[in-house]
Amino acid sequence: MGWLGDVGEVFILVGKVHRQIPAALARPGLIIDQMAHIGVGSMPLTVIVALFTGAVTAVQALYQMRDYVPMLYLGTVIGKSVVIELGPVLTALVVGGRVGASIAAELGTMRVTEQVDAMETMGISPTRFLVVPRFLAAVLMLPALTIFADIVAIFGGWLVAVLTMGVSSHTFVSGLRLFFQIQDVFSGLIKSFAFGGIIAMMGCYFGLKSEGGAEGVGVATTHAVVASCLLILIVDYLLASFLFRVIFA
Amino acid sequence: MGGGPRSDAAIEFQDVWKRLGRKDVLRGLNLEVRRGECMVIIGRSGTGKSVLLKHVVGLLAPDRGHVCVNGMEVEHLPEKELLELRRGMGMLFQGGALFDSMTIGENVGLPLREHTPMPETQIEIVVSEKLALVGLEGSERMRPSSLSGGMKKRAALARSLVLNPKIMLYDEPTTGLDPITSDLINQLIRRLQQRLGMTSIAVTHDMRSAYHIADRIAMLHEGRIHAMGTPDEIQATTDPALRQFIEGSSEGPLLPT
Repeated sequence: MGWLGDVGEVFILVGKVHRQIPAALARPGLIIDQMAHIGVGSMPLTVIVALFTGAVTAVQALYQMRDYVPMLYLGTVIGKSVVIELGPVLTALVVGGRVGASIAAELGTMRVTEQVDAMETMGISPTRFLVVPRFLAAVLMLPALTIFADIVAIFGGWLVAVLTMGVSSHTFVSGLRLFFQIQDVFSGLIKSFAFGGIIAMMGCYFGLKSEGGAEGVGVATTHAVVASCLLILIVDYLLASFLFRVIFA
Repeated sequence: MGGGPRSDAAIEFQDVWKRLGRKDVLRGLNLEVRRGECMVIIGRSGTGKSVLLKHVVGLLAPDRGHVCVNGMEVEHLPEKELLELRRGMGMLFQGGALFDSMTIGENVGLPLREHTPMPETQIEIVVSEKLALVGLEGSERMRPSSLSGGMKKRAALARSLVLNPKIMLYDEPTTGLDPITSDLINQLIRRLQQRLGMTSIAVTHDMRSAYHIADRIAMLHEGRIHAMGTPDEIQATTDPALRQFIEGSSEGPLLPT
């Protein structure tokens, strides 16, 4: 039942992060560095993933709809599926892999080489100095990346529809606007806030907990990525149920 | 237990027990370090010397017993006072533990930036002063990854001295260094001791270094202080385990692990 202990310790860490946020805001440089690493650094990956996500959605939608559903709805299907689900979740999964692993490996190495101990000995809180900047940066940058991903994915779908399927640009855009609801976008962004928090907390928690040299850091990195991917999908379900069955119902 | 501040004990271990994993590392350890003295803890690898040091800064808390620094029980201090206490202590870690995301100058200056309102220009002066003290002048812009083991340790020493601590803890200060660098570190420790009247604990199994820097030497064995004395007393010991250790012999009551 080791995982139950992990759950408890993660909540304790979340509590510490919460208390240290004001102190960490006094040194914005650390947060900005992390925003550059987590946000700007993940842009190329996010753009490529989003482009192909949109493209494949268009191909699959066309195949399902051919002969039965008017092409007007192609844009609707692509827009809705990207904004509600594919944009936030796929972005979180690839960023979770990239950023979660790098956070866990960096903090894990700092732990096993006693850098974290050294920091505490100097009277500097590792939570404030290491965890909070990563947490805030991830929580702020994931929604930003998701907005980019949404736009690029819809563009990818449009590209495929217009260039290879003979759908006119006007038809595509009309479909996109037909059932557009702003709460779809909001629900996606609310989810991505949560996903950002999950990625940073898993990376930091498993990183700081690592022990036993290079092997321990490897184990911590694997755990961080696996745990954030699982939690992203579980929390996605919970938030979708809450948002679409309670709030927007 | 605990009580008010005592005049001569800067650091005090009272019947300290600590279990890590399945091993009882410290088993009723008692030790008193007087103000202004340099206490060297010797003992074999894995006997809990580093664990002992980590109790002093509150990185580890005893399962039973008390660790008092300046008469205050470290394990019961509220976070704010613990931070305050830690600012008055410096610790040199085995591998240096320099932050490799920062330059040497940033490493050494970090405690000043975090804990003092000192302006940037003055921080730079203090940093270069401390680096000169350890013989590393002009290395501010270098990265820890480009330094040798000995240079890393010296830079880390500069960092731990930057807030002028009253208590210094050294975890194997000379392990893995060449004899000349070792001697440089030993002399530095000795000098700090004499000039600034620091209280220090050094953990080592380098006997040359121990004789050089110690006012008193204590041997940690089976979770307790097995023997203690001045360097001369230690060298003249008749205790078989201590004799075997200081002579570095594989024959005797201590078995190779």
